[in-house]
Formats: sequence, structure tokens, C-alpha cells
Amino acid sequence: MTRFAITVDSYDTDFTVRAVAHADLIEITPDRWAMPTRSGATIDERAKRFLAPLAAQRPLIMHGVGLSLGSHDRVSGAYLGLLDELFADFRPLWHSEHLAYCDVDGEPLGTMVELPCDEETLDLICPRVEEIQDRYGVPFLLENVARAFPRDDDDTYASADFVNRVVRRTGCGILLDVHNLRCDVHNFGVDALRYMDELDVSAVREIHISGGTDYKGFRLDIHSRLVDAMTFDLARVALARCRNADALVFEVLGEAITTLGAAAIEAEAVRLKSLLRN
Amino acid sequence: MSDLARRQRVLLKSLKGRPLDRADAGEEARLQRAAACTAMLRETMLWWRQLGISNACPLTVAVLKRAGRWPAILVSFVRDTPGSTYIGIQAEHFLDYLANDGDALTAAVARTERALRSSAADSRYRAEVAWPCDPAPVLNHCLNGTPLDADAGMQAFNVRIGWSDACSLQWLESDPMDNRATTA
Repeated sequence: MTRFAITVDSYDTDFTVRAVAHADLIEITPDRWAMPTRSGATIDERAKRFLAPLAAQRPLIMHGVGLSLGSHDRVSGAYLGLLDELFADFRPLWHSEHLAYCDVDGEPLGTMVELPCDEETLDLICPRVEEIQDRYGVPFLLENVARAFPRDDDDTYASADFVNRVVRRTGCGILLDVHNLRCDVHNFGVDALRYMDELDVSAVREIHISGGTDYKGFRLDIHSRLVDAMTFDLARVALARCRNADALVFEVLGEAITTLGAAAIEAEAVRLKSLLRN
Repeated sequence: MSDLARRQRVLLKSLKGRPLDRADAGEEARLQRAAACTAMLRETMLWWRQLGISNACPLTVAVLKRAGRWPAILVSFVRDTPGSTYIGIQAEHFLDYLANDGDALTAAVARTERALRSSAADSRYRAEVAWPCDPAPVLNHCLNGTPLDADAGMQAFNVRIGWSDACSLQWLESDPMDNRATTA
């Protein structure tokens, strides 16, 4: 049975209470609870105090943005340090990251970019995925990012086929983000239904849904709007096909609590949760 | 260098506005074929940076906006520094970047804001920052948007930052004969 989850990534108590009321699981992003140290980052003690009662009420799942799985040189040690801390204190059911990179030679890009779908990339990331799975001992899922560029002529594999190959080599799971897919439809003419046809949907353990915005002809994935009709419909299709999905997660940035309002986000959560009853 | 390494390094340089090498020509051509996408990615990256820095460094950003320098400084900061995934570190990098700015007022505000961040993290921290003018109207402008005269006065001040019972700013006119002290 697919459960409903909401992102909690701020100290807004009112919002968190509302989220707990509607969510079966809570998803947190380790990077958002970090405080900087000279050598990297650590989980803020205040964050641990805030998350402890939350974890007592709802199981946590973790979704990172800072691992940089596909950096040519290395994954982020600082991010793994954050995960180590959180796993020690709050045993999440599973965790996930993006099939992408955000650091180059240790320097942040300031954004996240998709990887080439070829053998070189498979050989780079698959051992890293296996190492992470061994390290934490819970399922590790990989998410499709919203493409920044059109598909490359040099790509050996179609995007979904590439994900399937990572799954086959490593045994990891898939996090299907339907708004990212919706961005790819708008920005690059990707056929979302064909993508789902080609994807090994039996490996999809989690589905992300969120709201974005249209800007200068592009669809942007900003997690701070309500969910539009196309994304809602894609989620319905994804849920029908991904019968092993354990969670539908409404991703919403903490900053959106101010702009949208906690009540509007709560109402949206109720609407999205209705997808699970159909 | 592997194809992936070159691709990632060239994208990093392009997004941050750094010069490319001759050896980067192939990847540069690839990015130019998708110029609109590259431009949008850079704009998105800059937007997230401006959001994070504006939230973390409101005083300094307010002074830069007043001077019409904020967009250009953001671009040069991104080009010249590695940045950080963590907004706290990024904010400190940004304030350090402006601590020796050619505009004495901007430098003073950046140093003051940097000292306030350090003070908030460490109750033993003490600092003194030289200002080229009375800090009160400038800080009032930064915090509350009150109008600021073009000439904020030429009298130099020193601002002391630290904790007593609470984190405080104390400013003293630099003329030792007239140590007028104000606390905020």
C-alpha cells in the first residue's frame, strides 16, 4: 500500500503539526538541517531536538541534494557525514538521491545537472551506489532530475534504460519524480508515458510530486507552487503503474510556507492524498 | 582527462562566468548549441544564490542594492569564489569577499554583518569595525528601508560588536575627544 508523505525542512512548528496530521511518513533533506563547520558540515543540535519528536510520531525517509553521485572525481564526503549523523539518531526507512551531479572538483555548481547515459557513467556511479547501500543497510533510491539540456547525441542509452541498468547492476530502487518528468515534457518534448513504459516500474519505491513554474519558456522545478493539472495526471498514471511504490511524497520547500501559506499547502496535501484512494 | 571530467569542468566555468581554455572548445560548442538552456541554468543558479545570500546577509545586500551594485557583485562573487553548498559558509564567503571593497561604506557594512554572525555563534567573540560615517542611519536604512541621505556624514566611527547581556552594537565617534557612545 502506498503511503503519503510530506517534506518537512523548516522549523515551522505550525506547518509541521499540519504535515504530521496528514502524512504517514515525513521526508527530510539532510542538507537543509546542516550547519557549516570549517571542515564541512554537521547536523545542527537544534535540528536534532526538532526532529526527535517528529520521528517519534512518523517514520522518517531521507532525500538528499548534496551527494553529487555523478561527479567525475568523488561523491561529497560532507553529505555522507550528515547521513551518518542522521542514521545514528533517526533510523530512516530508506533514503534517496538524484541521478545527477552538483559538485565539480569539490566546488558546488549551485545547481543540479543530469548525467550522460553511457557506459563511462555507469562504471563511475554503480560502485558508488553499492558502497552507499553497504554503508547504510537500508534501500537507496535514485531520482530522475529535470533535464537542464536536451538529450545528447552521444548518449548510448535512453534515459529510462539508463536508470534500469543502474538498478540491475546495483539493486537500488527508483524514485520517480513526476514533476521533473513534466518539466522534461515541456522543455524538451520528452514523452512521459513512453518514459514510464520503458522504466522498470517494479523498482519504483517512491514517487515525488511538486509544483513548479513557467519562466521564459521553460518549466522550472522549484517546489514552491501548488501542483498543476498535468503533474497531477502524471502522478495518477505513475501510481497506477508503480504498484510497488511505498510512498507518494509531496515535496514543498520551507520557503513556500511563507508564500503559499500553511493552510494552502495543507489543502493541497489533502488533494494529493486523494490520489491514493483511486 | 576523461570526457565526463572535461564536460563537468567546462560547465562549471561557463555557469560561473570564468574564461574557457582552448582545450575546452569542443564542450563549449556543445553548450553553445544549447545556449538557451545554458543561460537558463546559469540564471537559475544565480537566482538561488541571490535568494540565499539575501536572506543571510540582509544588511550588506541592502547597501549594495541602494548603490545599484547588487546584480554585478553577485555575478563577480560567483565567478571569483568557489561558493558552498551550505548557506552559512556561503554567507561568510560573501561578507569576506566584500570586507575590503573599494567602497568604504560597503566594506564597513560587510565587516559589521560578518562580525554579527560570528558574535551570534560565539558569545566570547568581540570585534571593532571602522565606519566612514555614522552607522545609525545606514543600519536603519538597511533594516527598515528608511531614506538615507547621499551624504551620511563624514565623521568616522568605530563600531564595537559583542555580547554583554545581549548581542549589541556600540558605536563611538572616532574622535577621542568626543567619544559619544550609542548602543543598539
